[in-house]
Amino acid sequence: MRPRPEAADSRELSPRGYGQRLAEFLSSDAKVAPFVSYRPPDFESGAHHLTGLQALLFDEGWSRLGWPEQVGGLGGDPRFRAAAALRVRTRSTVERLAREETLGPEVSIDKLLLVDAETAIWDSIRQLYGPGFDLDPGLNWIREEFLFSRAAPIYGGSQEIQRSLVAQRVLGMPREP
Amino acid sequence: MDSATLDLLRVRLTELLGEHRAGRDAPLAQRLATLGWEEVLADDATTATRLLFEARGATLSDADALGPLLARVVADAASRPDLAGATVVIPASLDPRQCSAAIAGGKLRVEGVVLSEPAEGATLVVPVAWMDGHRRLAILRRGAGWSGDRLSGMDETLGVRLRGGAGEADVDWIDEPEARSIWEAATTAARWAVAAELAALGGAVILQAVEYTGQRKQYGRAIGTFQALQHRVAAAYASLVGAAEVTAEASRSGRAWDALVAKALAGKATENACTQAQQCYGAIGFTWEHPFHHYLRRSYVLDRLFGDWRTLEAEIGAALAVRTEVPKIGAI
Repeated sequence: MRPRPEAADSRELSPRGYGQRLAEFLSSDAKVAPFVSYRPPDFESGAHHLTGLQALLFDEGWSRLGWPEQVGGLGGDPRFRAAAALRVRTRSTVERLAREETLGPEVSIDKLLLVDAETAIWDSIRQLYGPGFDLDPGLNWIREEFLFSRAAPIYGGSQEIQRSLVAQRVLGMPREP
Repeated sequence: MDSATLDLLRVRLTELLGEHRAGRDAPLAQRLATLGWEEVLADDATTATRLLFEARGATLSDADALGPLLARVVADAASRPDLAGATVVIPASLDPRQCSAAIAGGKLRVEGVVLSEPAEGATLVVPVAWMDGHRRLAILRRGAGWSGDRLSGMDETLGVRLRGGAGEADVDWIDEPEARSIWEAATTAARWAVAAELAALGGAVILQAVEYTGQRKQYGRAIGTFQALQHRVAAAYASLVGAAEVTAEASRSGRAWDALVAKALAGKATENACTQAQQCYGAIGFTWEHPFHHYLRRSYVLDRLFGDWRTLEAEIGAALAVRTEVPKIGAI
């Protein structure tokens, strides 16, 4: 979304989670690019024309895929399967970007898989640590990471938005009257 | 208690706990006395206690209700009226199967959690693991060199970490098998009481989410009109009602199994209520400006208190796997 400068107003929010990652963005009368205008990143020039969701898939998707190995012992766990689905799906999407294909509403599936994996894996991490996770003064950093993981179903387009996109734009189900 | 009395008591307790501040105000027990609390307890201690914990959950109060409850249960189970004013030290991990203390070099070392800090000289009751795996309860007094530090972590208002030691000669012991049954009674009462607190906290979270979604507009309409959010909130609420029903039944039966199931249901339903409410709030629910995070943090720590729902759920599964019939909850 590229709002006209005069229509945009933003302020930083004090996020309860990790770092200064959230901002409130208010705009009215904004011009919104059509959904299909996702452009692949220009790897040659280094100018990445990533939309918010694409940036999210790179930043959150890739950078957090290391977690399943780190928590260990989750091989037979449904949470590990959620991470595996995300990992392979994200690779396919990145390969499509590398081939300079135009991505469509199906990238919402990537986001839905990301949320499943992100929230479930962090639930597992909290459980594996045991009660010390919530009580140990030395674990403040990991609690903040955990609390930020709760934002996954909201940032970059909420679960409701992504599910509506998959239902209506991918599957062709009718919109609400 | 008839329903009018119950409603009145609920309102008074919610008012009292809503404005109570630990440290600023007289201890909760003294303030409850002005409500005629002793008469209420004599009439129906179970219902009154459940209402007290529900009021604590709904108001996020930091008044210590659990400490007095544990002391009362231990005093009754041990037939030791002198322990009714004692402080029961909860294991540092908040898990009742672990112990707060151990014997080392002829001294008893204590590290545990209390919701309100006992004064020097106050009587403490502490579960202790014995070398042969048996559990004993140590009865001792808080000495001069003990420390009490505010808990850190998810919810810094929960209580105090108490550390100290005593020579073995200064400790009275309650041994097996009495110690085991006393501790089980304490665990059972704590579980249904904290379950009541959790379910009420979850209920408050849902009501606030309902209010917010009725006001917040997106796409030209209140977001509460979207079925996607209505279904999230309604399903979370139904789970909370189920958990509260089992909790009330557990409080009446006083059985360990019922309290375990109630605590598991309430912990899970409340975590889910917070998850769904957070989804309704969107980004504003992730800020310090919004009060939601107080509820979320309190729910995480209450869930740990006397066993978290994931651990209890595994215990329920293990127990069911070796039975040939589904155990009753309370009378049914």
